[in-house]
Amino acid sequence: MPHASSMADSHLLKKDHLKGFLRKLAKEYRLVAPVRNRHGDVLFTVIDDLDAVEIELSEPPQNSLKQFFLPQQEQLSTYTITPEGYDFQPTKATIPPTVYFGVHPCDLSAVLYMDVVFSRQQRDPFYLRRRQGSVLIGINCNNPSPKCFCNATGSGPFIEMGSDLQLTDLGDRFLVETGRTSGHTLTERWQGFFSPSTDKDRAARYQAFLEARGRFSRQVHVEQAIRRLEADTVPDEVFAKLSLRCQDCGGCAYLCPTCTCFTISDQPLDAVNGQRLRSWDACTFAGFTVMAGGHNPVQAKTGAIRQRFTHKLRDDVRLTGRPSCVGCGRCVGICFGGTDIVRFVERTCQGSL
Amino acid sequence: MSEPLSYLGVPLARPKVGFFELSSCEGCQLQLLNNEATLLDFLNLVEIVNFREGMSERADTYDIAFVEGSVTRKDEIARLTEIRKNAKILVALGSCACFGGVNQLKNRFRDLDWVKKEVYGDFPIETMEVHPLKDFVQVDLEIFGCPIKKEEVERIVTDLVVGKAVHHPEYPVCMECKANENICLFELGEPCLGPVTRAGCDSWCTSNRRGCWGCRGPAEGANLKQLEEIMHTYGFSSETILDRLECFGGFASFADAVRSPSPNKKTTARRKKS
Amino acid sequence: MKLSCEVNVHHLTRVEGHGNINISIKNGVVKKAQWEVIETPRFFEAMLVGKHWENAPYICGRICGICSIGHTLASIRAVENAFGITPSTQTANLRLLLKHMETLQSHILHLYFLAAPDFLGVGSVLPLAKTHPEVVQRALRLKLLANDACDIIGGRRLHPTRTVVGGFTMLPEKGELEKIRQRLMASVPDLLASAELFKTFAIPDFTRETEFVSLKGETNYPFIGGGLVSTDGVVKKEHEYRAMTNEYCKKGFTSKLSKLSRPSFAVGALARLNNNFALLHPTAREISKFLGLVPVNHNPYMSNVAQLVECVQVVLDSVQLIDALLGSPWQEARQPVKAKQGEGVGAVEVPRGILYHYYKFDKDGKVIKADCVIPTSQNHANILHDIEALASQYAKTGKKDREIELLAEMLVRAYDPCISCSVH
Repeated sequence: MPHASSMADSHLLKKDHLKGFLRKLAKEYRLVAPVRNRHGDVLFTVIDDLDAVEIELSEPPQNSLKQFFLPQQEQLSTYTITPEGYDFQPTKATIPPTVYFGVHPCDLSAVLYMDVVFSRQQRDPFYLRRRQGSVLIGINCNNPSPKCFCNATGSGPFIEMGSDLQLTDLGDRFLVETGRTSGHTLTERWQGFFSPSTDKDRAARYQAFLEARGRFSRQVHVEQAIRRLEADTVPDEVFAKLSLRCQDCGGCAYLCPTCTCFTISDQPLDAVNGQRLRSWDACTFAGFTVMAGGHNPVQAKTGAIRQRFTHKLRDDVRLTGRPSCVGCGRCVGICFGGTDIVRFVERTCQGSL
Repeated sequence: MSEPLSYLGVPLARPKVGFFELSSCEGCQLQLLNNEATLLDFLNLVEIVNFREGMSERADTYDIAFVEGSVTRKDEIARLTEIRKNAKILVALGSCACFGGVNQLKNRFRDLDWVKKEVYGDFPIETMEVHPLKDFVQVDLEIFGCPIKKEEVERIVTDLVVGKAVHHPEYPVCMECKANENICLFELGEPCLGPVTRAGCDSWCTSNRRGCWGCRGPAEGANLKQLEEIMHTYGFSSETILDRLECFGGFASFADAVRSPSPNKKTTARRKKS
Repeated sequence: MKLSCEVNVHHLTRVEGHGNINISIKNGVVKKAQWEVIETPRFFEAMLVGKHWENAPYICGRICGICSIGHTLASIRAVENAFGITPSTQTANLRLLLKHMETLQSHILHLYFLAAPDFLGVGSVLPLAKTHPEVVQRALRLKLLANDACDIIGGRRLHPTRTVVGGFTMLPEKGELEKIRQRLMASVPDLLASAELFKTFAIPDFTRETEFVSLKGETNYPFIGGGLVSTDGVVKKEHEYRAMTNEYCKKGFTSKLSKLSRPSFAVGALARLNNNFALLHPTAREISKFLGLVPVNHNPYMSNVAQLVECVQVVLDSVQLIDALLGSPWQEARQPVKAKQGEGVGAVEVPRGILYHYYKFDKDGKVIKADCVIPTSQNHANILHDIEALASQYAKTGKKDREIELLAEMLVRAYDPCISCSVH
């Protein structure tokens, strides 16, 4: 449980020392952290010059870490057409060891979920190559945004797994908990930046957690929706009504940190050469389940929407014990039609509260 | 200029390609000339035999004819028919050729004589109701957009040359826009048809914070009725939505549904089937 | 000696749009010398009637694929003038920079792809890629720079996306502007090489005294808005454009025609330069003199040279504009727009000459009346008279049909006509 600070070790990092610590890290790792762009949007960004940017921890970033491990489009292989047929040369793109700094609990949970998806049955070398050598530095959420409902999905506002270092903002300082061996390595290697924490600091962390928990502006009854899906008592008209409003933009799936569906296509580059690409897909798209020959086993839009929510809230619970919705609220923000998961949960639970 | 091409070991002839224009701004052809980075590679792939905007030489047979513009005068029907006869594949290039484009905005007016008089006074000038190419000849392939996206044309020509089936995206621009990590324009107070317009432009306008005007026509699952309701909740009027729906002609039937009956305007621009 | 000649050019190539040239000379006497414009009209002015103001720049930009930026800017200016909106300095600078880059793009396209093949004795730019690769590469380099700059500022090189009444939907990144500045500086040697190349071209010896109409700059070489002037001494205000254009219809033309002090006048790079030579950047002025172009020049073939001089002008001026933009922090991209009843004119010097858009709005901001006067339509009558004079000049010289045909074609191309635009 969040209050029983089970992380083995904890230290203090003064806020004044944060940049110095990151500067050290940036010498050995590529650094990714939330930064505000010129339009005022906070986004996880690759940082080349730490002195030229301000790291933004006050609001959740609009993108998640998904794009770094599973890019929107990536080349799986190139091919050449020879008289004998296709000759494939697999692409072996790697990325430098990267520190992801300022990752909120929802996004940490999402990375853990993706790890399962991409190594459960068949190991996905493309995902795993990118994921290897990554260091996750999390930050607990003291101020959940109005869209957030991670308290309902068991993935926040504080978290104790998934990260190498887990930070809690205590005003002028961070409480730094080291989860994994790699976290210990970091605090030991640069111990000059850290000082020992006291019981008082740990009490302050617990207090921050309690306050954060009280700051959610809405209660989303995810648990109840899960039970209803499991019992198959969600009325068809809930799906039908939501489907009507879906504009098939895929925004929910793109922004969702746990939507990992993809499609693979071959693209000729000239008469003899081409590349095989993997791109994000979305189960809500009309063509998603179309098979070779044109048959579509899923019934149009209603089926697609049903598929989306059932997968997230029932199938993944069966598989991993928890829903793959992490309560980040991104789909709530992006869906101008109101076909987001919160709307689904609310409609599903209507009349039963 | 080029190495002989081959596909699966079988030699391929470089297709003879002609570019033609009916009533248009010729911008779609210009898009191809505007292709500095890849122009020479592209020229390597095809043999251009007819391109009035760029060269003096002309030929009368071609494998692929790209026709830009819409039909707005009787003599253009004959020209189009002639091009169709000489071409193995006829491609409608751009929104004017596919749907009538901005040209068809004049079809809003029932009275063609009023239209002529408004512009030319009493001077006699010939024109007719604007039609897309497919109303008169068989069109083998449509390339949407005002203007066309050069990358798309190059991809399509490459597919044609190697004999691969050409597929247009079925999903809407909205999806590409989300993929480009743009903030929703509705949030910025900008009306947008991205949710119902066929993708393929890589959200060209919306990535520049300009709402989509639907130049590529409807996506497969365009859910206009719901979009209209959604846009109303964001405070956009039916007239604003209609301005965009009727701009390029791709949404003609949708525009009819939104348009309120008005005495001096046409309600339907009826289309002949080819 | 052969004193008869038949020239019938149907759908002249390497120009934008559809036009025909017909010349008939019998025994040294010109029987016929015609320039016909047969392009299909598209009725833009009618399309706009009843439409909300925001449609005007979006739809009117689509009059022309080559100068869509110029049309969009003229349309925006007309709407802003009607509503009493003054663009901010930042917006004005960005618009002028965008305009400059369109001018550069269009002039380079015309000079290298449409005009140069005549002087080098080939039918198109394609064979030049083999025989003169460095020339083609240079042209592509300059065009790419101009087009990239248009993408960065206007959102798109053709039918721009960011340009709206009140300003821009989005601003470029300063780093991008800085890169464009570097590339502009690096393009100067290419422009000088272009001047050397055009110096070697044999410009046909033909003059016909002509009235030249353009904007009149006060302190800067003019491109967007301001007073109207002619070399015959006519001076008018922007909103008096009708008195400057006097449009009429004529058999054989689906475009309207214009006249002023004489039966015809010319607009375009040569007209701008003839009227504003003193306002050119000193370097541009030197290049003009180097190429033998000093005002007032009445040889229409020199329009090509004038375009080249303007390329230098816009590149050097763009560097200064970028410096001004980089020198201050970004302000709001777009100011709010409040529609009101009224009328407005926007006069903009687009690559082929002065362009006017006029709109009249009702109290809801809906278009009651629209009028667009296109540079090429103002030039048509002058092209016609030039062809007549050209035919007369060469009627007794015994030139071959093909030689006269080429001279006539080159003459029309020198005007860089945008025919579909002129008919719109």
